[in-house]
Amino acid sequence: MVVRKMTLLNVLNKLKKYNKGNYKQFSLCFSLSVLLVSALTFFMLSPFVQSRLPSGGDSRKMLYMVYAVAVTGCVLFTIYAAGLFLRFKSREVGILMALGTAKGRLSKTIMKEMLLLIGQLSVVSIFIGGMMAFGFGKLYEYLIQSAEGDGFRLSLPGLAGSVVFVLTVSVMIMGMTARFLKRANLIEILTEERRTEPIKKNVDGKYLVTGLILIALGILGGLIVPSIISTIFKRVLGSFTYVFYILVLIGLYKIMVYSVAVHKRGKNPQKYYKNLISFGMLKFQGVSVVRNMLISTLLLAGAFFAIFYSATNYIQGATIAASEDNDMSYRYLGDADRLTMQDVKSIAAAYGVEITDYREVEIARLLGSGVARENYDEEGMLTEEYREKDYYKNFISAGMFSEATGMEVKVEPGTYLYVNRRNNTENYWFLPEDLDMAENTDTGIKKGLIFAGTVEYSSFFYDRGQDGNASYILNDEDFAELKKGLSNKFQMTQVLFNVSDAGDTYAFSKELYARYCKSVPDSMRVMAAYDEYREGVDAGYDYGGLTTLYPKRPEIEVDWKYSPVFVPLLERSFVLTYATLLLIFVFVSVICLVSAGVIGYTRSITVAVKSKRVLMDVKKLGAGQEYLNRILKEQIKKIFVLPTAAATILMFIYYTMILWQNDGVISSNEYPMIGFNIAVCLIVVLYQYTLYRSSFRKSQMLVFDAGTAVMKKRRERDGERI
Amino acid sequence: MLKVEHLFKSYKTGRITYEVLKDVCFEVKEGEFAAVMGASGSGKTTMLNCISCFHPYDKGEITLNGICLSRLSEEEIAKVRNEQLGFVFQDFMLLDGLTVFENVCVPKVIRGEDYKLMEKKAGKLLRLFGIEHIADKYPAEISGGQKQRAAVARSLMNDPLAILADEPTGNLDSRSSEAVIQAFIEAKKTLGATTLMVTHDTFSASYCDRVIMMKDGKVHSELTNNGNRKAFLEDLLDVLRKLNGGEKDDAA
Repeated sequence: MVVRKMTLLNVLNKLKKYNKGNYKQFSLCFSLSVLLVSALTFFMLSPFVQSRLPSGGDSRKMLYMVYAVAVTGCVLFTIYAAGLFLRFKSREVGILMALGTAKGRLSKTIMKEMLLLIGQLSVVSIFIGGMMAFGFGKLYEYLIQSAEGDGFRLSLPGLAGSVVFVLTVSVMIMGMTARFLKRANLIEILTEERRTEPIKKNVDGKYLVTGLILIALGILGGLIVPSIISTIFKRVLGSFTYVFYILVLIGLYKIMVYSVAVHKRGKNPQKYYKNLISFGMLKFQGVSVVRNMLISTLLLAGAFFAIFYSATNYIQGATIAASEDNDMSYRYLGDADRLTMQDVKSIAAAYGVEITDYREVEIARLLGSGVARENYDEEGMLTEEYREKDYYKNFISAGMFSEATGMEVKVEPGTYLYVNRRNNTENYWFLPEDLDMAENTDTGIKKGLIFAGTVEYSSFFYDRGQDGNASYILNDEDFAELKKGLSNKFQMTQVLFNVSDAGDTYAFSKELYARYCKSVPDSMRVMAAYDEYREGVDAGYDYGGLTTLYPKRPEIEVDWKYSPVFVPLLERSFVLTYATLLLIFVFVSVICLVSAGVIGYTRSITVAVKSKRVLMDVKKLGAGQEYLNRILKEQIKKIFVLPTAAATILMFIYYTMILWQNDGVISSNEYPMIGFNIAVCLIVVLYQYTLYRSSFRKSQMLVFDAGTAVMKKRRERDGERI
Repeated sequence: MLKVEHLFKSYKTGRITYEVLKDVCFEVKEGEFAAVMGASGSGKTTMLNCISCFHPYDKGEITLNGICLSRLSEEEIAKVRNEQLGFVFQDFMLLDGLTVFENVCVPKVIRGEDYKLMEKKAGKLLRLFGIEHIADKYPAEISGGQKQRAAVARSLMNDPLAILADEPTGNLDSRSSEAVIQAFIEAKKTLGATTLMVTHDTFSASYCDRVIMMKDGKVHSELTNNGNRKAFLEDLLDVLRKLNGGEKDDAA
């Protein structure tokens, strides 16, 4: 006989072996959470990825927002797993306390055990997460074929981020453990595992109605009303409107409480009685079930948002490439040494590419008037300030425009046409009719102008073509009059041409991009928002810095006023341009989906374990296996169906409304996005369905197989008693 | 009605075999309220579990209205449990998430019966056992006695051939115990119910028509109630004293 020293630690270790399923479940959840977050953090904070993220702008903001959602999801589901772990542990802790173990001693031992477990899991998970990020990063590096030689590597900030996450979660878990052990009521600890959490409030139909109303109010207040007010009254309500989204959350909670707590006889009593037992059983775990359902819904919503957003970016990128009127377009200021047509042709020849339709268009940069809509008054109303001298804007003669584009335009003297990008949507920050004056700042000649309409053509500007990037067509005589005496630095040449299908157009475009970047003088290495006039008059001007160019990496999105537009590059590299965002967003959505899945799965197991006794009782009352299966199925179905339905429907409607809100219509180029979103919804529903099936199978195994085992044990025990 | 013939049941733990029931024979007639008594370990609960089809048995036969229970499939056993037997357990086994009314309905819910008949029957049983005023209460909101009366009502929901009650008063105080026993008597008088009750409680057993005494896995003796409950109680106590080797009856 092996004699072991029976210390408290030995007893706990023995119990740990006996309860290894419980430890396994907690370890899996904790490790998965740390692994996913550290992999994501390592990947995102790698210098290789950071340098490829578009600087500033919505994408980066959205990226960090979605990252926050993923991390929150992981925190929530780790805390949930810890709660479950402690609950299963409560019985043995209670018995040890009841037998006289000093609380302090027990707490110390358990805290030590938890700390050791968390510590070991953290080290391993961060290591594996780092390896995962490294593998993923190397794959990414290979995919974008970086020529800069700065290979993907893990960084210290990535490690620090992962450690911060682990510390935060660990502190929370240790706090929960301490609180659990501090409880004075011994009976409460002993019965914690079997504790029911019925919804005590009187829940009726009003819950459903108020829930729906709150959701509608939330969407109305957070999205529709601000959109309508800003469109009609040109007034921005500010970020406080996001508070309305809390109403959506409360509404969701109410609907979920209703779905779990209310089961009315209603108009179909037969159906009511058919589901009577499963409803009654779930209702008694109501509070935690509803809480779980809500977290699952949020995580699924996060996953949807991440996928929808990255898809929108991707499709928009593809649309921009497709809407260009010329294969190649770039500009030179009049005083710059430019690549000549011969230079371009000889580079093209080296790649077997033939240049067609080569054109150079003269553009005059005149100081135009405009309306500044940048500030808000004290009441939040957008102020409109007319400025006779607004920005240097681009002017083309009607004859030159017709010749270069093949589009016959006629402009009456004293009027102008605004050149708009194809499918560009109008917004109230910039209106084509804002211009009413143009001035040659070299000669001081000014001319009053009247807006006469808009022409759509996509190759004359970078970005949306507003403010200093706006282009206008003037009557030939007006143009000549204004251009007279204009110095070289205010003249610009727009180069446009197409390329043949033969040859390596991508390699040619890449080479031309590098040569173009190297050829431009500092006066052209300016940000997209830079304007010489504004630099002179605006206090604390922010756009005066030089833009860093990456000649060998055209896939990097740079904030550059003279950025060339090469369609072969866009077509071949727009996937890579968005690859970083896409990868991270997909990564985040995977984290959210996995977290939601784990929560759904573990909740199903909890429901199954808690239902076991009742199911056995119902069996004794004569229920057949088919009937028992149905009761279990009904309960588990509910855990998956409502969160999936709520997240899918709400996010689909919400994102479709965002598309609509941008310009008040859903344009034809947005149809593919909606189609894609529907496909994503179907895939997520299928994923949840698969999880539901496997959760149900596992629960069935747990309840009925274990049930048979329990019966066997009981028989043996009865035998022993005789 | 319910016949137990030469019933043998044993358990194996490792290499050791424990014989729990050794050639048990008895019969419960239609409309009879019978009890099984005996010391702990005498095999009374095992016997009830065999009749309930919770446990298989080694030898012998149990017939319910002529049907041999050992020859039934798993699904057929479930049907018998649901339609021909009613159960009352020591720990009530009411479903916490359902009201008293809904709990009483459960056997018919399992059977998938028409709701109108079900509601009518449940209402009638609740009135019969004087618990209609707690119909909408949940188990957590009522007393033990009320819970057990609800369980008795539930056991009668499908008009079973027999009610099997396992220590129905085991968790109750004397006042509640009496109320529950009265419920069984009421079921017998009004509905002609047949009941077989396993109990330790001599006082409860004294209300029965007949008491089967068990000892060491065998039927030791049977006592019949001749209508004088007090005399029957005395007889029971006498037999129990003898059964326990002259020691004081711990169940009294």
